[in-house]
Formats: sequence, structure tokens, C-alpha cells
Amino acid sequence: MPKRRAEEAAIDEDPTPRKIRRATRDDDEPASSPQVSAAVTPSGRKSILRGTPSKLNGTASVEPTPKSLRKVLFTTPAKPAVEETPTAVRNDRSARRKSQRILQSHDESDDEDAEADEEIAQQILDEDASEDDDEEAAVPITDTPTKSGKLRGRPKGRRRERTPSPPPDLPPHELYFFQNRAGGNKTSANTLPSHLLLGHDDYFAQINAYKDPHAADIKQLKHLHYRSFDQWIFELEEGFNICLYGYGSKRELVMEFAEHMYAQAECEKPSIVVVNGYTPGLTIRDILVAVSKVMTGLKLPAQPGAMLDMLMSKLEDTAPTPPLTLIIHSLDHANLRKGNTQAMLARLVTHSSISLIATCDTPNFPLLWDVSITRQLGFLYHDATTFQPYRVEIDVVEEVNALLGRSRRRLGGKDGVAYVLKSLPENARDLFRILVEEQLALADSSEPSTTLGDATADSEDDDDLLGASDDEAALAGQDTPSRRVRGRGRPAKRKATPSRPIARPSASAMEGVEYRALYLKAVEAFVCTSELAFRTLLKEFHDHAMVESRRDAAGTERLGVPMGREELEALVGELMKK
Amino acid sequence: MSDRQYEACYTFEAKGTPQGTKRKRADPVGLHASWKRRRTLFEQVWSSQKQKIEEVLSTINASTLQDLLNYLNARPEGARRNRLPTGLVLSGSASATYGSVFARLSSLVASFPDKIYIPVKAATATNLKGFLKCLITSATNNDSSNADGSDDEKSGLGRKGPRLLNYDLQNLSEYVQKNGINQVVVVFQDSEAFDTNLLAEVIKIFGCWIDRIPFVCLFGIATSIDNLQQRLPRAAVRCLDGQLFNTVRADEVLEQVFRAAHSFDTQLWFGSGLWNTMLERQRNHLGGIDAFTDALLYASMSHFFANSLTLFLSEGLSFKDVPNDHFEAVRNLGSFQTHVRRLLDSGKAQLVHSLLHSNTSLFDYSMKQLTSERHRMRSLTQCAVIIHTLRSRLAITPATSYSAIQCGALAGTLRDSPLLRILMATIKRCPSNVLEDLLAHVQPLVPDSQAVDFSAIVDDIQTLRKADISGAPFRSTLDTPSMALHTTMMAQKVTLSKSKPAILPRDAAYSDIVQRFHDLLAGHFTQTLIDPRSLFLNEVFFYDLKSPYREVFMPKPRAAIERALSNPADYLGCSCCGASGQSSDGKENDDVTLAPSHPSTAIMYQLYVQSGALINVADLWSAFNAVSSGGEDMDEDGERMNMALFQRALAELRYMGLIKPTRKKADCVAKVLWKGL
Repeated sequence: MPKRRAEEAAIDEDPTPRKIRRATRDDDEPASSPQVSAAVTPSGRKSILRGTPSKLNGTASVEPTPKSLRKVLFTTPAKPAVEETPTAVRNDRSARRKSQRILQSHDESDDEDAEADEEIAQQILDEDASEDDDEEAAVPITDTPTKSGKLRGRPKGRRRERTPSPPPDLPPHELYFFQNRAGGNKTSANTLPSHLLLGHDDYFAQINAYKDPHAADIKQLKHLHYRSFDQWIFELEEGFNICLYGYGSKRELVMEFAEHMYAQAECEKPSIVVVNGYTPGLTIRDILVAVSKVMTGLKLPAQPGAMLDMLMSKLEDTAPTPPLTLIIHSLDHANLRKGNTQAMLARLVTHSSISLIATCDTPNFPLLWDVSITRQLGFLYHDATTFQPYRVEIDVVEEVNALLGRSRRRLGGKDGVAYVLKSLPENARDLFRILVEEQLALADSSEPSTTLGDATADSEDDDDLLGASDDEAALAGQDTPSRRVRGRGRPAKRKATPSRPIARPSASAMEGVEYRALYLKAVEAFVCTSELAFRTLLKEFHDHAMVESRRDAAGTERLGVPMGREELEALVGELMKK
Repeated sequence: MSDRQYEACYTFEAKGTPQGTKRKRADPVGLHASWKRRRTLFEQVWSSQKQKIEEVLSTINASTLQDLLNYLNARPEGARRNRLPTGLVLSGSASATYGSVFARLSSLVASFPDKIYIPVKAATATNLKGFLKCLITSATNNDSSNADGSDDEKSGLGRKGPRLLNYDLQNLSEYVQKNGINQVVVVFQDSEAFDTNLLAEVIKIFGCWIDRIPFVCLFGIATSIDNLQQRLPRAAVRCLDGQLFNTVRADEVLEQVFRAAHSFDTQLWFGSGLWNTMLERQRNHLGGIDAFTDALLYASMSHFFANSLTLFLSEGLSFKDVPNDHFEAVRNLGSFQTHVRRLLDSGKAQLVHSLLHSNTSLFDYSMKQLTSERHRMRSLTQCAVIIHTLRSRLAITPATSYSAIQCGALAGTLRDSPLLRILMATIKRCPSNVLEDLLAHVQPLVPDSQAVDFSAIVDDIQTLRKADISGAPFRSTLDTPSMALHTTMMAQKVTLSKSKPAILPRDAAYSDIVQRFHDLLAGHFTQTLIDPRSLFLNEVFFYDLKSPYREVFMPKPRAAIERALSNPADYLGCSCCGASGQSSDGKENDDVTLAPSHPSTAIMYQLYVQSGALINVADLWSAFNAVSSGGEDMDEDGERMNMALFQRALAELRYMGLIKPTRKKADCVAKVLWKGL
């Protein structure tokens, strides 16, 4: 406070008029208060408070009416009296305030957003005012200190009134900005208890027992699509390719179509190659090999590019008489999404004797293709919304787990790792122990300044991992006694405790151990003598997905065990014991 | 089948027994029974159409191609100045068309054994090494006839000494020497897409090797030469010795193809709506002319496939070829009904009776009518051609394209359009030399019945011209200023006098002729410019449906998915979900509908739409559980079932790319797509 005053003193050539003004105001305030009490609404009170002399001075000199400072319901008669104070003149010199005022007067009639702006403007405007207010609070003569508190609290209170749910009928882009506004996302800190999520067995039991009330409608929808089969055949015969889009699994529909095509073929049955694009690990090579299998007597080179060249030249020489039909389920699946893959497929289907029926599931799949690829593909698009669940395409349980960052495709957590370690030689176990210890030490040292490296790391949340591993352990039926010995509470119960989210950040700091450092440590501990042996040991870990390797920003390789901290600690305990 | 669903790729085998007992070939029934005949008809119609289009396309850039070829042939002598001979093929903004120019050039060049044609694309090579590697492999490999020769060459290289790296241009040099090649044509089809530095380096290296490898570069330029020159450093530009080649602009190509497709002797006319949509798409979006021909093909396909009455279009159709239900279909046509009403109004009840009751008379009548109606369509097309010719001869601005005029004619709006009024007004005042020019162009276009009148006009002008000795063109009286102010100074007095200029008798006579010509044309126009939709049986030969075209070529997959999920009843047609959605029958209320009867993913989607950028899964689950249980308390089993559905819905949302995992907060997922954006 004194500092501020000193500042002001420095700015103001003559500090005395201020005091005079304050004195006059002090006189005025009691005069206005009866009016305030008459108007019981708090807004009325606030409006008077807003009209603190210094601020009013600022506006009044340009615009005599208090209009610019939003709904001032009750204007005190005292205002004009204060108007001619020198501070007013001083304030008026500020270009910023002038422009603010102009902006404000424009925005005034606008809706909520404008009000928010106004609030900001108001806050800026209030800076000067609050100086005065602070002083007021300090000066014992002024009325209750709650006043100033209220003044400052007012914008906050207003902000709190704003509901997190969007105002109705926002156009889509406005909704986007509304939902993405800074600080606008108030998601609760609730967490989903792991025991709620179903495992594979439970899930399938439930889904198989589920009777869709829409089954009849879905069937009817499918029959609607059946009616266009003849049309599709015609389109394929005219050299177009077909792309089916829309919600729902189109697999069955397309297979029905294949049956239909087969049955409708007049003399020679068409050769149809089916590609399940959703199969994990599918590559363009598989597709090319499958196509080449239909054409006999082809010895294919190893590289996909050369393979395609050979296929194309073979097709030029001897085109298959009934054209070959290629069915690709989920052409836009992540497996096939690479630009090169799509380009090669496009090149393959440009040939007149290969026709393609593809299904696409994502809403924005046309973005996969540029102009030339789109032209090569020569698609006719048909809306084939089926509403059938993606039964084959998605591994629901895995997908949900991956989405929530729970357990991954690896051995069942800590117990799985322990199981693997049991079958490994002694020095492998030692190496793993060193790795885990190093990792823990590293986590301890770098805890405060943690930055998560890359997005592949999935070891951030210990409890989730732990919970999942418990589930899996229960499934596998190999509950190790050591854990109970260590006296940890039953995780299922502990999980529900609200302390979980707090524990999270510290555990999310798992950085890998530097490859070189680990090697040296291993040599020191006589785990291995050469790098080759070291690599061999590591490979075993990699094969079981017990170790993740990644490169940090500096390009050094870092190794880490993808597990939560508590799990790691438990692991170390077990390994030490042995 | 089901056991192969997890297999990556396999060859399909029908589910039924080998003999195919499960399914038989289903023969089409009902109106579809005539499909086979229609299909042959379609093929006939389309092949003639296609032939015309191909003729046009093959002639379009013929001169440019010839120039390019001449340039390439002339080069070997010219390439002595240590500069890289370069052809700059300017193709305007239509980057799509030059593909065809280069494609045809490549087939032409392939006929020369001493030339190698190497097309390079920006996408194939991102750095110099990759570029050269790609260049060398395609140069040495594309000679398929010489497959064994290349083997020899490899061993030859091995013999000579150290093995060369595969991006060493020495490889190419040796190959060129060995096979006696005197030209290596490198084509940068999309020169704009190449990285500037790469392009500069490549040019410089080519410049270094020009004494050993006879390079010729061709650049496809979509923007301008200045742009290319600016991008390249001076050192690279200095290596080039360029020559410019212009290609036909895409707009022009489009017009020409339109002319070919929409001509006098088509069997099937497309309406203005369809044409406009197709032309607009073609102009607004990059796409080669083949996209346009595809659209034409698809339009004919849908017409012949979906409209069984197209059967009547086939030549030499006899009564017994037409199934009975087709006649019933004819009687249900809108144009049939209006026609019958007209007949009744003119008191031809007998005819109407026979049309309604006898298939044979209906057949004869409609075949006869079809010929005459199609004739009217032809004269409509021809009339639009006349208007376009007149306008272009008179150079009326703004210039209206041929396609626009034809579309106007097809829409039936041309007759009262300002376009035509201006034309007629201009004709009225055109001088004789212009009129003669017009007549010369119009006369071959008018139908025979009116040709006599036109030739009479020509004769009259001729006689008038013989009588006149001045040789100056005659002027129409309307062309001269009608009123002139004359100021005369007479004895310090100014007299203002208004007077009409003296009309020469020859001009007066000429004006009569012009008027005759004008009236003749006007009569012709009013007679022929009809609305095609008013013709009897227009459904058979006139196709103007935009929707199949739009849906098939310009899909909105995202909108489809959003609609399916926010309004499942639109697809499922069920009453349970539709009730709330349809009662509101406003789109605004769509996102408020949340019913337990919705499919689970749809419920999830609604919740998804309502939530913010970050979604807490725990909250989502409780909301989902509350909605799908419909407010009732659920027992444990019900909740587990809900959980299964929840998980499935969540997985589906992720699969469709609507949500993605996030690390911002525990148990939260991030929203990816906003509805309607």
C-alpha cells in the first residue's frame, strides 16, 4: 500500500486534490446510503459501489451519462459534485481508458460474451478504482470494510452464476469455441472404479445375452440394402468401384453381397478376394499376396512396390476373364491408413479387371485421399448405415482399456512379469532388478520437475495398473502370496478411496533409464560381460513387453518398465527376497 | 465364412454348397424384367456417346502434343550449348488436365526406341538421393522388352570395376550409351509440388551431366513461368534452355466435352439441373475431365437402370417385347396424364379411351409420339445452338458459354430471358455485312422447313446489293440515330431544328429484310424453345435427377453418421425412437432427444455432443446408466448389461474416431469431432 501511494505521488504532481476529493466523497456516501437501503436488491448496492468517484470521474468527463458502465440502476445525486476533481482530468488523459470506454459503449447491448469482455474491461478499469478502494479500506473513517470486499467479489460472483452447460441453440462453431474456451472445461475429478469395467469373459457373456430391441428394424434396414445389390453389380461391371460408408458394421452386408454376386454370376464364377482391414498387423503385402494367389504362376519379389509392379504387368498380359473383385473391409482402418498403402491400393484397382468394394467406418475418411488417389480409386459412394455392432472389427474390452489407459496388451502386470522372471536365468532377474531400482531412483530424483516424454508411455497411473493387474491376476489364478506378506491393503477397497487422483502425478513420472548407464551398472554387478550378452537379455524382456524402449529429446535410448511406481516397488521387494 | 472373419486376406468361397443349392440365380421380375434389354440399349447409347467424347478429347491438345513431339525430335541437334533443353508446358490452373497430355505424350514417346520417358512425381522423391535412385531405376527398368539385357548390363557393370551406388548417374550414362539412347525425357508433372531446393539441385546436376546423358526436361506448370523462375536460384535457371507450350484450358475442354455429350443426335437428354450441378462441380473442384465423363456415364446408368420405361427408347421395338406392366407404368406417368387431359379438352375422347384400355394402341401411339417429341427436343437443342452462334457472331457481351445457353434452353427459361431479348434487339439494328455473316452461319442450322425462308432473305440481300453501287454496307433504320438536333445559323439567328435523318431507299428496303429476318427468328424461337418437361413421355428421354449424382460422387459420410446417431429413427424407422424426434419435427430439437430406447451408441453420442472438450468417463457412465435404465432402479445384472453396452458404445466411438485418449486428466477422454462442423 505505501508503495502504491509513493507511486501515485510520483505520478501526481500534486497529491493534495486527492485528499480533498476523498473528503468530499466521505461526505457524500452517507447521503447516498439511504437510497441504497431503499433499493434492496444487491445489484443496486453494487451499482453505487461501482460508481466510486474515481471511476465515475473517468467516464463522466467524456460521457456525462453513466450509460457506458452498464446497468447502473440508481445514480447518486452526489456524482456531479465530484466531477470536477483534478483526478478526473488526470484519468482522462489515459488513452487506454479512452479506447476501453469506446469499446465498452459499443459492446454494451451485446449478450453474454460481450458481458464477459465488459467484465475484463471493467477489471482493467477497476484497477485504478481498487487502489482507491484499498485506501478506503485502510482509512478507518469509511464505512464497513465489507463494502470493498463486495466490490471486488462481484465479478467473481457473476462468473460463478454462469452455467457450465452451453446455452441452447449455439451454432456448431460457436459451440466448439464455447467448449474449448480457456478454463471452461470443468470436468469432474470422478474416476471410474476399475471393478465396474467388464473383462473379456463378462463382456461377452453380457453382450451375447443382450437382446437388441431394434433387431427387427436393423434387419429391415439390411433388407433395404439388399435391394440395391443388383445396382451395385451393374456399377461394378461398368468399371466403377464402390465405397460403403455410414454407421454400423458393414461386414455382413458386404459378405451377403459377395454371396449374391457369386450366385448371380452367369457362367464363370468370379474370383473374390476378401481383405479384413481390421486384422491387427495387416500390411499391403498381405493384400498383394492374396491377390496374386488368384493369378497362378507368379513368383513375387519381396518388396511391396516391386510386387505391385509385377502384378500390374501380369494383369496387363493376362487379364482374368471374370474380373477380380477385391473386398476390403474397413479400408480406413489404422492398419491401411498410410499414404503409401492407400496409393498402392489405388494403383492396383485402377486396372480395369480389378474392381473394389470397400467399406469405411470413420466419418472423415475421404480426407485420406488426395485428388489423384481419389481419381484412381474411382469410387461411387453409397450410404450403407446398418446399425450393426462392430462385432468383429473392435476388441471392445481392449479398446476401452486402452482408451482409459488401464492395462495393455502385455503380460498381466506385476504378477505376469514375476512369472516370466521365474523362467529366466539368474542374471536376467538381476538385470531386471537393477533396471527397476534405477528407474525408481530416477523417479525419486526427478520427481519435482517431471515432464512426460512421449505419448507412448502408459505407465502414468499406478493404481489403475495395479487394479487391472489384480483383476488379471485373479483371472489367471496366480495370486502371489508375497504381496500379502508385504501387508498392502486389498486393492479393490483401496481403489475406491478418494486419495487416488492425488497420488497420480507423482507416479506419472516414470522416465526410462539410459541404455548406457544401465549397461555399465549391469557390468558392474557382473550380470553380463559384453554388450552382446546385455542385448540378449534385454531382448527377452522386450519380447515379453516387460521393457519399453524409447528415445528422449536428446536422442539417447532410454529403457523403462511400463508399470506404476507401487508395482515397481513391490517388484523390487520380490526380486530382492529371492 | 464366420471362421474366416479374423483372417487377414483370403479368397472368397460361397457359403452355399458347391452346387449352389442355397441360392439360385434370381431372374428379375416386374418392371425390372426388361433390364436385360435396357442394358444392351444403355451400352449402345453410351458407347456412341463415349466415342464422341473420346474423339473430342483426342483432338483437344493435338497441336500441343505435336509441338512437343517436334520439339523432342528436333532436340538432339540443338543440345550442344551445355544447357538443359526444357519444355515448359503451361496448363493454367487446371492441373488435372495435363495428366492426360503427358499420358498421351508418354505413349507417343514410347514408340521411339531411342527415347526414354521418365515421369517423376513430387511425392515419390523428397531428397536428391531418392530422386536420382528413382530416376535411374525407372529409366533402366521401364524397358520391359529389354529385360534380359538389363541382366547383362548388371554383370557388365560388375566386370568393369567397382560397383556403382544406385544413385550414381554414371549408371544411367552407361545404360544410355549401351542402348544407343539419344534422349532421356524427364517429366516433372507437378512442378509446383517439388521442393524448391531439390528441383534446383536436380537441374544443376542434370546440367553437369548433359554432355554425357542427353536429358530433356518437361515441366508441367499450373501457375506461371515467373513463379517457377522465382523459385529457382539463378544458377539453376542458367542451366535451362526453355521453350513454352500452351495447353487448352480446362474450361475450354469442359465446354468441348459438353458439346460432344449434349449434341443434336443424343438419345437421352439430361436436364439443366443435372448439367449445372455437374458443370459446377467440375469447375469448382479439381478433377480431370474423366471425372466429368464418369458423371455422364453414371447419369445414363441410373436412368437406364432405374427407369424401366427407357425400354421405349430402343430402336425397332416391337409390341411383344414390352411386358404388360410397362404399359401400366406409362399410364401412371405425370406427362401421360396431362397429355390425356389435353386430348380430352380437345375432344378426342375416343383416342383417350383406346389409350387407357388397349395396350397395342398405347404402344403405337406412344412410339409415334416419342419420335415426334424427340424431334422437338432436337430442335430445341439446335435452337440453342443457333442462339449461341448468333451471340458469338455478334460478339454480345457478356459472353455466355455454350453450356449456359443449352442449360437455359433445357430449363425452359431461355424464351423469356433477357439474354434472348438483347440478342433480338441487336439483330434488328445490324448492318448488312453482319447480317450476311449471320445468315451464312445460321442457314445450315435451321430445319429444312424454314430453310426456304432464310434463303429467300439471302436472295433479297443479294438483289439489293446488285442494285446498289456504293458497296457500303446497308444500315438498318433502327441503327441510325433516330433524332438529330441541327443548329443552323441564319442571319445572326440560331435555329434549332429536329429532324430525322433522311432514310435512303436502299436502307429502307434493307430494314424490311432485317425485320423479316428478325420475325422469322423470333417465330422459330417461340416455336422451338419449349420446356422439355411439358413434352409427352418426357420421363423416358429426359433425365434431370440431381440426387443420385450428388450422393454417389459427393457423399457426406460424416453427416450420415451424425444423423444416424442423433436420429436413429431416420434409419431404423422404429416408432419408439422416432416419437420424440418426429413430434418436434424441427432440427433444433434433435440433440435434446435422449430416449432409453435408442441404440446404446446413439445415447452415447447424444451425451458426447452435449459434453465439453474433455469427457469424464465416470460421469459419462453414470449418465449413460441413468438414461438407458430409463429412470428405473437397476439390479446388478441390469447394470452389468448396461456396462457391457457402455463399453461397446465407447469402443465404437473411439473406433469411429470421435474420441481419443488424453493424459490431461484421469479417466477422461478428449472429444475430437464437433457435430455440424
